[in-house]
Amino acid sequence: MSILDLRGPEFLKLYAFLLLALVPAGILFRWLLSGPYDDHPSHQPELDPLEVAYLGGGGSAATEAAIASLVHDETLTVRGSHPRRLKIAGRLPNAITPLGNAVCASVALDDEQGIDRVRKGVADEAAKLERRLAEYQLVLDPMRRTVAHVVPIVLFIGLFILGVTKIGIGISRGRPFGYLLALTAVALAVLIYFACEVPHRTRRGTRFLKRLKSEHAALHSTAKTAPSQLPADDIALAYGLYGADVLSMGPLAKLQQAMRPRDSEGGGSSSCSSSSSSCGGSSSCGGGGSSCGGGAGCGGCGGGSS
Amino acid sequence: MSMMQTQLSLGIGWRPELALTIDRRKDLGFVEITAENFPRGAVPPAIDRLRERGLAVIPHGNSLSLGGAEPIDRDRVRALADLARRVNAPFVSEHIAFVRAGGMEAGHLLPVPRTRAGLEATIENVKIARDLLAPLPLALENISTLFDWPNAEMSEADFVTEILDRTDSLLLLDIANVWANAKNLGGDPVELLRQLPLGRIAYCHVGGGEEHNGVYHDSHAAAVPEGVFELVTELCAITDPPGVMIERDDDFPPAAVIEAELDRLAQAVAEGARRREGAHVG
Repeated sequence: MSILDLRGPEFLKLYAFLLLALVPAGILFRWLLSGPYDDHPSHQPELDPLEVAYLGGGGSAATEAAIASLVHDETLTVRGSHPRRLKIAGRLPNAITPLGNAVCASVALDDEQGIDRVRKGVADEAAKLERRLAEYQLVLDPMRRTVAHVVPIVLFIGLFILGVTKIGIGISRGRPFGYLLALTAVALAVLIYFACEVPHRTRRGTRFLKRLKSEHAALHSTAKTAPSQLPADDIALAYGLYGADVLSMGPLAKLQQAMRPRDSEGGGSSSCSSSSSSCGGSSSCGGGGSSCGGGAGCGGCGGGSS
Repeated sequence: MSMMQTQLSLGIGWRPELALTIDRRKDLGFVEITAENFPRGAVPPAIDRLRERGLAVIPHGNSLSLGGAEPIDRDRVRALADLARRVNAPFVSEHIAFVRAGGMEAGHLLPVPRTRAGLEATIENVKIARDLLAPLPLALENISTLFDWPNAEMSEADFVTEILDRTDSLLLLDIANVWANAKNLGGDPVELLRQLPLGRIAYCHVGGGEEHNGVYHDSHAAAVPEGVFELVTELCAITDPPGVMIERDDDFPPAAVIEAELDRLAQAVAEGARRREGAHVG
């Protein structure tokens, strides 16, 4: 007897069981594939700011970090309002990174260039940053990433098709199917979640990133409030660790809305973004950070001061 | 005096703009945080990281209005105490000043009239704050002012001393304020220093300012005048303050400038200490 021949209530129970079992199974499967977890110092290399950004959010984040540092350096300027566009404004810095160079070359293709276009144009150069991170097993290698991404999706596609097929049978037999429709909708939502959450970091990478964020907490405070005091490398590092949250002052503020917001530290996945047209291909991890109180105390005129 | 002063050494007022400079400076013993900037004790991770490194964190209030004619707002004191517990502070500090009256906020620290009535009102408020903060000690700061209320019945030093003695509080000695008051109102800053209860010092403020139309404004938005550093040396030739710190609240200069000011402050302290020790040997 086929599963589809089960009576309504029995099928519903089986479907609910599969749904409840496959969600943790999918998460566990990804978790198992995202090892190792250990935190040995030999696994904590000195990363440059763009590598940190790549660790935080993949190629897009690294590209955005490069753009932020170039805008800070006044090599690029931000034009327009929606969408923001980049324009070459000054000489290239002497110590420019290959990705920074690629960004400038992409912008220079036209008088002004949209940020999404630059991201796509330098994707191959940005992907080169993965090499060292993969060597230290801080990000998943392409094979494991694909397996970890695809297997839960396949499971939930199967579950979704099973639900839809049984609903079709119910309709043809004139039977009620409301509960099954609801469960199938849940299966679809989980499917979309697994499709959008592209595994990116290993657990070692996530732990390493968390440590970097803690170590550079002071950079977060200063980048948000006094970016002009920082060199371009620090701006790239701050963006790589904390995302667009740090782009709140001066010319960098114009970039803030054009860059996608980061989600919380999470489990090392790239995610779909509401402000991005792509889903899964580009990543957005890390972020978090915190705001802190303002600066001024009671400097005095008139009366007294502290 | 019942309180032991905590050894703090060199410090600085923590501001987010200075966070990276502070984090990279390895010889600091403490930072002071402006309490009103961290409602509900929400301090940023950068401050927790300094605590992990062993730096003391001292909440500094601006809004208790201890010198006000009306009773202080107990909720503000409790918020200060909560923040102090959150950062495991050795003590908290506030000003001998008032900032509101009759429901109006002054927006500045205003000097308390140095009359018996002003003294008693301040002492009453400090006692309320002290009891709410207990067992945490309270350090009280001398302010700078551009004017004195008329009909003063005592000197600033006598006023401060009596408040500290009768409330068993510590002194947050703002050396720049002593220098500024001497400059604007007249008097010898070293003599003013000597009259203060130096044995009660918890720590010292050193800040910069600028002169406009012959009046010096202690704005904390400019370099520390050389005269203030010289006064630090004079103080350290008399006594050994547990801690000295730079205050910078606005118009933040590059990190190198803040670093240089901290170096100069440490040098001024060391110079005074050498003179003090030389005097003892002599």
